[in-house]
Amino acid sequence: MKHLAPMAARFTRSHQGYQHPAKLDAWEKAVMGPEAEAMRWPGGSISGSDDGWDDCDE
Amino acid sequence: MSTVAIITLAGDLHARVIRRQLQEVHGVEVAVVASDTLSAAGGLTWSNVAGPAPTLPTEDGGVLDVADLDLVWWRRCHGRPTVPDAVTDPQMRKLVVKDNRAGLRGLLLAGFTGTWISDPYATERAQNKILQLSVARRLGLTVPRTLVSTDPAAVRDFARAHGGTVIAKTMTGLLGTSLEAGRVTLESLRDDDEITVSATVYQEEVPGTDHLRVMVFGDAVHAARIRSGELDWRLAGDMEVEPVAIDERLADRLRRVTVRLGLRMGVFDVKLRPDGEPVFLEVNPQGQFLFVEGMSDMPLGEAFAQFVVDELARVHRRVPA
Ligand SMILES: Nc1ncnc2c1ncn2[C@@H]1O[C@H](COP(=O)(O)OP(=O)(O)O)[C@@H](O)[C@H]1O
Ligand SMILES: [Mg+2]
Repeated sequence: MKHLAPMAARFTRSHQGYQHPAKLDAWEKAVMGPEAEAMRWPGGSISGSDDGWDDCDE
Repeated sequence: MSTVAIITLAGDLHARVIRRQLQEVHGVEVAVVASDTLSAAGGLTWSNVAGPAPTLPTEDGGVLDVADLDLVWWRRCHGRPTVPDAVTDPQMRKLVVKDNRAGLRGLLLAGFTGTWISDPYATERAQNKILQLSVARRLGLTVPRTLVSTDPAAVRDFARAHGGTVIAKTMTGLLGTSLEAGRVTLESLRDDDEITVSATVYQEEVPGTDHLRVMVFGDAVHAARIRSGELDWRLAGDMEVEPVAIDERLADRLRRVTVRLGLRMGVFDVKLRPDGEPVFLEVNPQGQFLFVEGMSDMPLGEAFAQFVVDELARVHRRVPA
């Protein structure tokens, strides 16, 4: 069977190797303290640029 | 007594920062309700017989009296809700999530009479990109030439008409999987099944390296310029972010889009063409904005807190019915 994915799924981005900007990292640590690490969204930033993370009814 | 509730997902940095700012700087009481950990938390009650007051559990283990609320920041309500492992039937796990969600909404819809940032149904409706693009254009913004389609011939014609390469992106998004906007070429649009499987946004590419992230908080407009060599700046390593002033005409149009969509706030993605023309890409009804503060030192946490304080003043001025 052919494995189909939607067209837009061609542009899936792996977080592997993604470097969280150091400036943002420092800011998050400064505002959240040690809690920041536990809050870190997988692969991304907790103050994050990804708006899509609520957009699902799985 | 709480006057503001933030409905969001557990461990939300935006909620923590804004709560702290409101409490410490403005003396406003704030409760955070984690909409994804309602199951097994207890504390959710509504009744139409005398006795129990409508309540919701707070993220820190307390209980919030809905009647005390003047303002609700409706930030995140989906996520991936937790369900106790003891509920093993997949259908029952779904029911747990849906019933808690309906309980939360019902309590607020029936018992909360203050101001929403923003109304839950307006928020859901406003997320639709087809609606957004239509409204933005009607209100005079420049928008990219766009095709949303599952028709292979229409998609290929659109790509051909735009030099053989167009942007493809999703209608919505996925939790836990980052999807970017990307370039597709006519030569790669061979497989009909890939095109027919789901509605996709095809767009002319807006050239350039400069983007705007514009935060509309009520009447206030805050803009940052994001510069990146990558097509989609979201996970770009080279992102530079700076505060910028935008012209009043653009600010006013973005305010009007927000109002037309029934929202009190909106976080806009705009791309600047090399000739300086701003092109509307989308509005996120509950978009992220604190990364902009982290990257640029723009005081957006305080700007948002001030917006909440202004909204509260409007509630307090309102004559009771
Ligand atoms: N037509 C386009 N031309 C150039 N860049 C685009 C275009 N559409 C999207 N992008 C880039 O991709 C990013 C994500 O697209 P956007 O429309 O904001 O959707 P979403 O954030 O919901 O995935 C934009 O911020 C921009 O950097
Ligand atoms: Mg976007």
